[in-house]
Amino acid sequence: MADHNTPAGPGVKAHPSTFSPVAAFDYPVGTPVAIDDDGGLAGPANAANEPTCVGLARTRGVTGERTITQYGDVLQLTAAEWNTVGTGAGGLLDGLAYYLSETPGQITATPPVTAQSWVVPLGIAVSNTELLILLGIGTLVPIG
Amino acid sequence: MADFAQTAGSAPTLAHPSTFAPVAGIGFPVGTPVYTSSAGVAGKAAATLVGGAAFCTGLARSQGIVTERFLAQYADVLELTAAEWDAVAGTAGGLTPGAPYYLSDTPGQITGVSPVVKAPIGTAISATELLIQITFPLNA
Repeated sequence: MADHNTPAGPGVKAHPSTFSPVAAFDYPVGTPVAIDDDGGLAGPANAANEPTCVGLARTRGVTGERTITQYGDVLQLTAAEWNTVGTGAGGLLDGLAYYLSETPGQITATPPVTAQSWVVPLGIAVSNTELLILLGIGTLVPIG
Repeated sequence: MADFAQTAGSAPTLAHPSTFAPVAGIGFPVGTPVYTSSAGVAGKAAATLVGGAAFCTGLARSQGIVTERFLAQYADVLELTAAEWDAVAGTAGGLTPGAPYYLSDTPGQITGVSPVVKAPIGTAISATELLIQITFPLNA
């Protein structure tokens, strides 16, 4: 069971729109997260495989430990942290919508076009360091 | 007008920040997806293009009793027992972690397999918890 709003470590402040699943892998802050259907563990989401993302990592994922995952409101990271999850060196681009990438754990401003991948909305950039999280369940890219 | 953030009657039901308290037009159990009918009362939402029932406004956080207010939750995580989810999702043992859920063709039910009218409701983060992600029907 997810442990709602339990901080992932000393000094880490929880946020109202968060929950704290256990990470199955190591991953950086900002990573879009999916829950597996076996043990309910969290890992990097992937638009090639799944139509859902349950939030973005507010704290770093460490295998076997709880990590704060944010599913609403504004997530603010540094431009460098956003770059790590796929935005480019300057961070987010103002006003652009971001989607789950077909590269696991990455986000993209260009929604997938590969047949049988999923277009999963994640949010809209309100500055180069802030993403307004607006998660949606994905739609399948049709064949042909 | 819905009575936002009021508790559902005299019962000691805890309000939740992402709830409102409409009047039920029909009886239903907790977890039921609901919509607002043209009569201004809450009914069972369904994946249909008839009558606006696919425009889900939340899931029942408290039981719906005809003419009484109940709590409908439209965001954040809704936690129920596995048995309560089984009653509205047709599952056994609760929700499937990681799976998306949609409105069902059957009024007041949710399903892991989207019908023709695709109305997302949320993603399970455990067998007993649903992260609510309600959106307009994708093909309405």
